[in-house]
Amino acid sequence: MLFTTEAAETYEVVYNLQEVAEGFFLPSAYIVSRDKEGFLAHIRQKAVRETIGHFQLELDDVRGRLFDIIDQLQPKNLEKRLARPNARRKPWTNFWRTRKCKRSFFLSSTNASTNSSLMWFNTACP
Amino acid sequence: MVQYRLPLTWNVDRRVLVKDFIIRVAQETLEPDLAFRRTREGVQYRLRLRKGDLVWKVSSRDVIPVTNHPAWLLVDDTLFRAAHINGNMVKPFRTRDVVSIPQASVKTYFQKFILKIASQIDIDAEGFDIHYFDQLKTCRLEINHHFFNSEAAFLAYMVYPKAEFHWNERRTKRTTLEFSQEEVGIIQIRRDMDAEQVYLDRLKNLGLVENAQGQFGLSEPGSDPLALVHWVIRNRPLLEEGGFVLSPIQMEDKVVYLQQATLNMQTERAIDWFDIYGEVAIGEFTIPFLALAKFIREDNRFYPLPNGTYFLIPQEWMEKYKSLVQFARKEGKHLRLNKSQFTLLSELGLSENEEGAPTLVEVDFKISPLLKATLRPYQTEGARWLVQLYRNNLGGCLADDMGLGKTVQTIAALLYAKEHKAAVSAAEELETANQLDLFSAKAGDEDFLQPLNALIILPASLVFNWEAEIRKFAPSLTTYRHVGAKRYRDIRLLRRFDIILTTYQTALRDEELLLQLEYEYIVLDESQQIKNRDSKVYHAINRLNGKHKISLSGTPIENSLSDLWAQMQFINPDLLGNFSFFKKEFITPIEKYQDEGKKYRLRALVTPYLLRRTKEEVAKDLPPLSTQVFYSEMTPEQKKLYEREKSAARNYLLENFDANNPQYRILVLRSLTKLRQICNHPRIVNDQYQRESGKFNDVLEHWDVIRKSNHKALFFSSFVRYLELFREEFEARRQPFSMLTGNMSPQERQSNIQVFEDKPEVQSFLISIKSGGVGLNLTAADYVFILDPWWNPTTEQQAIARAHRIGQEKNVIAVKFITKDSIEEKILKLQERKSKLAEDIIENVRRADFSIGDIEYLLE
Repeated sequence: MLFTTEAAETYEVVYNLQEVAEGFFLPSAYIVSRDKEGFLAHIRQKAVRETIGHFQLELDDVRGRLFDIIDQLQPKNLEKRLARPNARRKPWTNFWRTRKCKRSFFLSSTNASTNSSLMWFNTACP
Repeated sequence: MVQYRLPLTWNVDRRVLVKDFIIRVAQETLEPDLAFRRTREGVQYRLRLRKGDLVWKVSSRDVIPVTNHPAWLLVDDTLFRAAHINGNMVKPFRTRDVVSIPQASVKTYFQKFILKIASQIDIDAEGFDIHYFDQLKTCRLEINHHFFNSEAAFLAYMVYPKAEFHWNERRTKRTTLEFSQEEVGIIQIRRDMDAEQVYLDRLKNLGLVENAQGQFGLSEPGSDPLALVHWVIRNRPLLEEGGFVLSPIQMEDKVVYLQQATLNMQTERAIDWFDIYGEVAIGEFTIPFLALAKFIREDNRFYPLPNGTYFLIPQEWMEKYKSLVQFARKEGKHLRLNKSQFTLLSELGLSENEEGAPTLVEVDFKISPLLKATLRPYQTEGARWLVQLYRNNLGGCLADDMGLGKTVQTIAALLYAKEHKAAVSAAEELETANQLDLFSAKAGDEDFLQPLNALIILPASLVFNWEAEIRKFAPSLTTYRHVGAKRYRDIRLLRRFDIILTTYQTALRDEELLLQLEYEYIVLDESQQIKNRDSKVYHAINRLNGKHKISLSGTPIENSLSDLWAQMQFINPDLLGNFSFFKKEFITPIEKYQDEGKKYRLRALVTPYLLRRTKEEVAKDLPPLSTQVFYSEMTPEQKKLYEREKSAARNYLLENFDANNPQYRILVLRSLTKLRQICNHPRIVNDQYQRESGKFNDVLEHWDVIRKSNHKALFFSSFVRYLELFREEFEARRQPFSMLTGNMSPQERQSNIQVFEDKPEVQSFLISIKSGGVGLNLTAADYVFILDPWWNPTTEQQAIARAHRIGQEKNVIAVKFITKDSIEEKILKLQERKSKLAEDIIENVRRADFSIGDIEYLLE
């Protein structure tokens, strides 16, 4: 058979809470395929503003805001935000591993953003 | 199929099936359930979690803290928000039910982990001393911002010793902990509902209303999300009098300074600008308005004060002063606006200190007796408008519909300028002679002989028409056509004229020469020619030194608002800011998002400098029909062809003169017809002719302006082939048109007439004057183009009457296109003289009555 009649694959943006260090969760987003029954199957790639259009997924206001929060919490952006002015940037894990007060500061600055993203689920989910 | 609007998972990776890791997000919030028991060894402490009426042990479920504060807990596969506790507090209870605190650590442990939470919730306690309280101390107000809709409302807390209650929580008492003499004690607070009601009534009396969540907000919150903060600032004394305590208002990590601010603004007028001084007084601080300008411009309402708090700039100020701070420039310690931007001051309600409101200086304008024309009322108004701008050192764009007489209005303004310049010059001489009464100065001959030095830049096709109109309406003004190869290259010669007429292309070529003179006036006709701000001609013309400027255009905005910017930049530089600002502030919002507010603002800015009247608007001042003549010049190639043809005809006809020979008369008619055709377009007589025709181009230019103003026009010509050239042009431009010639069947005629009358997009109707001159009713048209003159003016009048007849509600403007220095001019003159010669030549009379002199005249 030259042509298949199989329906085109459909996708969904899935938000994930990833435990990136012990007891420390950061949100991420993936484009996930759906199986024939419509259940979420496998991760295809990371979801960002620029890519979801290729998967026929709309960039609505909620998705846009969540992507922004996730972007703020990307390691490179965390390091930028937490670094001292003019100092060499250190890996974010340094903040996590070193003294307790630093960890506390680190947590409070990331928790607020994670909380903001979770508030969306609190209101938007069925 | 499971459908999640926002699917949320936990710890997925590429190897797993995502559906197995989906977590649910609970709508309910978990509450802590705390209990304390005094033992001989110390204190036992127990934390359980409560969902509604259901209480469970932390250890009985798989509980993982996801965030610490605010706390989100993953309980089995459901994510909960947890109130009052930190996420870390549940960790010890994941493996046990009770935590024992030895006596030595009780104080530290309680101070660190327990006391704050214990003050917020009800606890169970055993084995402690109990103290009771029931006296309401105050009501604490805290602003709460709704996370999603940005609305703000007050949370009202009733404050008792050792505890606070949200006013509408159901509990009437609370048991909590305290340290007394190094010992943990228990206190119980009982609420005084009557005393609380007094506070609630006071809030309502101040105009606040209770919402569904039991919070107090403004009855009409409006569009400003921070309106409640301003309400607090305004009503703070009343709240304090009522016994309320205000929690510090913190927005976006910034503590708001709660003193009311007052703004004092003043303007001072200079010759070409306005200086704006402003001062904001807020509590102990005084801030120059200039300091706020940057914040208003950047839409940032939080201005940092020296004490570390922030002044919240009122929304009203943000809106009111936004245009001012965008357009004004910093000048020392104040702001400065160009004079052309005076409308911004009027909008703000600012007035000058002593010299009256910031408006234009009124001018007592009288039309010069040297103007040899009677202006219609709207034309007088237009001339007055130009003169008023002139006297206020401002430029204007006169954008009347084509045919309304922009030229004559401009000439009237130029005459005024000439007389004014002479009067000023005379006054200066008097002043030099130490005479006091400057205003009695009258211009003497010498003053009046001072040239005006106006430069009019226009398309080549209009040069002759302008010159003709100046000569006709203002013969006292000396005019020089700065065009062609023999034009002057010496500025001393140019300086001698009242008016220099030149083309856009010549102005570009002679930029350096023209830069040497300061012009009293620079006038641009068809000023849309400078709409491209990147063009050389735009830059060249903007470099010229003109004290006063006028632009004339029937279509000041052809394609985009950027056209308007270019026009305004010429007449009143910086009125609309630089282009990138204008694009961001106006073009994008208006053209992309149809922002009505921006449209309104832009209109307010340009209105004083843009006068546009449509034909319909001035209909009462217009005669039902006005006829104008437009002179076209032949292109050089056309002229060459015409002269060759004329010379051959002249030689033959003069040598073989025989007026009574019908063959001769036919020859005369043929020769004259051929010349008329060449005047229209040489292609009519020679298909191979590939060059341009002056008149054909001029007609199209006129048509373009009229078409863009959504008018309809009839094009009459004696030559079907000429109409076909227009047809080809319209087809190439994809402009719908209709056509009527003698070859058409009655049905075809009727159908084409109907199309023109009924379809708005069909704006032009090409009609052969012989077939369409009579019997048609074409009232959809309000412009008539007579593309070539006919010997007998009655034929033209009949053609014009197709549009101007019973049922026509609009005023009709007829434009006759005449080729200069050609047979067409002769025909026009014959028409004017009502000469019988035309009849004798073209009509088939038995005995023609024309002489050899007449032939000479026609072909001279």
